[in-house]
Amino acid sequence: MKILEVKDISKNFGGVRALSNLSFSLEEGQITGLIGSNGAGKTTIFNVITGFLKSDSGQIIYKGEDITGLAPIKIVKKGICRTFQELRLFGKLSVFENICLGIPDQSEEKFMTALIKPPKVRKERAAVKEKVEGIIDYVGLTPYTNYLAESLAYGEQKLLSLGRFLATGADTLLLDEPTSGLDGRHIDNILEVVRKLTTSGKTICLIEHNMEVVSAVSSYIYVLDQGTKLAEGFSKDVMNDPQVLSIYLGGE
Amino acid sequence: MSVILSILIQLCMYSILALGLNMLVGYSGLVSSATAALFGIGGYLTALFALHYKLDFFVILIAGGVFAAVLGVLVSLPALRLKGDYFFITTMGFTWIITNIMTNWMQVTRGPNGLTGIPSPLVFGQVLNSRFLFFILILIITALCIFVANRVCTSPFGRALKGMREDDIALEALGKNITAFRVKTFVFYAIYCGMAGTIYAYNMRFVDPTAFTSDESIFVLSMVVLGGVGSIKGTLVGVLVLGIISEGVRYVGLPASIAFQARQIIYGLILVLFMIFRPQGLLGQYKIT
Repeated sequence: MKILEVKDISKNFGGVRALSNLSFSLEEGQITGLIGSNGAGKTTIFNVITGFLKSDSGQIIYKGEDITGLAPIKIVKKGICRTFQELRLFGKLSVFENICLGIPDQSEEKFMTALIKPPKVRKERAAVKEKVEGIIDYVGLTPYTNYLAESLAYGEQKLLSLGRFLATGADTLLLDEPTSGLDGRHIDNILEVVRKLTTSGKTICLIEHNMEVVSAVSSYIYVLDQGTKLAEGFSKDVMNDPQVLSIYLGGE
Repeated sequence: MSVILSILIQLCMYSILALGLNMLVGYSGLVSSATAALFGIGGYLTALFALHYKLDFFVILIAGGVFAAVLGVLVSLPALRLKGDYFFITTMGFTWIITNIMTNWMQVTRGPNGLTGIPSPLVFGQVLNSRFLFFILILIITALCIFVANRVCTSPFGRALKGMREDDIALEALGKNITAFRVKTFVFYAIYCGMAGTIYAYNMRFVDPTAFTSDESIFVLSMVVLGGVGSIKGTLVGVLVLGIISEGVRYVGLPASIAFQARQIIYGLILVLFMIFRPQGLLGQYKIT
């Protein structure tokens, strides 16, 4: 079943056409890969879906509802969450605190509740703590719970960024190059978490440069080039498409 | 004795101002130059209320804070959606507007002459003539302000603010309403500044526009930066250090003609040295950006 549909989205930056009538969809509970060279529009479409950029035309439909142009926080509340290629962790906060900030609707994040601290918040705090510890364990960062995010190695930071977005409880996760800049062992760690996510029912859209990574985890792939869809198909078919190889790998 | 009490009350007042500003600068990452304007609104409102109506000290204190907050938010709401330079410039404009009103609205503020003859505060129906008791009252209010700031900053609300200071876009991507957080911290800051204005007016017994200029905003910002942005203890240490230096220089026997300038040179120098050698302040963890 299609959970997210991108329909004819176009976006110009001045005279540059970043996205041109782009359409694709995500199947519920599956990993969908978006590949393409730099400037193909991959991150731009993430920004449009999550409300950080407004598209010039087109529609985004999520679970049958038009979410085009909603503010980023409303889109998160609908259940779509994204990671950033540059991670954007809260460096001076601990791993625990980073994940805490992903948990939605905490009453103590309201000023008056924080000031008055009614008795019920103690229970809520305990529940948040348990949930956060569960997520830290899920992404394998338990030994680093109290470390500052900035002090972690890059591979662990990537895992933390995944954990932080898991905490939001979103059903659909948009991952922007989750394995870029990592070595083999760390790539395996990330992919293991990503696969685990789909078994727990999450829908994932993955932007990647690394063809091996995409073909290893994605069930369906869209190839973007200069803001349009160049090809689509099941992972093994797309990988052997001569046109894709030519554009993406620079082959003849 | 009276001089010492007056200095101690001033230190309490600066603590409240600096705590308010630290909440904004240190936790939500917004640098404001409206401190003196909000402080002045509280001061003038207090003077007018105390001179024309027999209102209780606490009523005026709360009114001063609330009025400063309402005016401050109205003016800065468009800028609160933005960050950094835009916000700073808007708050600077706000300060100029307020200073101009103080200086030129003769019928109400009596312009450069200021408002004199503010009576002793009325506390629960009793006139509080004793300076010492007034000091104790201010000390209790300051302690309460420290308690509230600490409680809020160490809560999940404070954690979200720290997240906003670190990376507001990431926080928004996690589904948090950053504009709401900014407005709330600005209101908190404005209330603290307004209340400090009430304390100033009752302590000095007069208000005039020279007390609420941009110099005062920078002085309070210096206290926060010197003590350590984002640290409540640091802020209080900053207030003590700069407050004592600034008051102390008055009593070391410098000729009156250069005392004010000497004071400014000394704390200017301290700031320059700190920015070079310890940008995170005495007890702080973060550098101002």
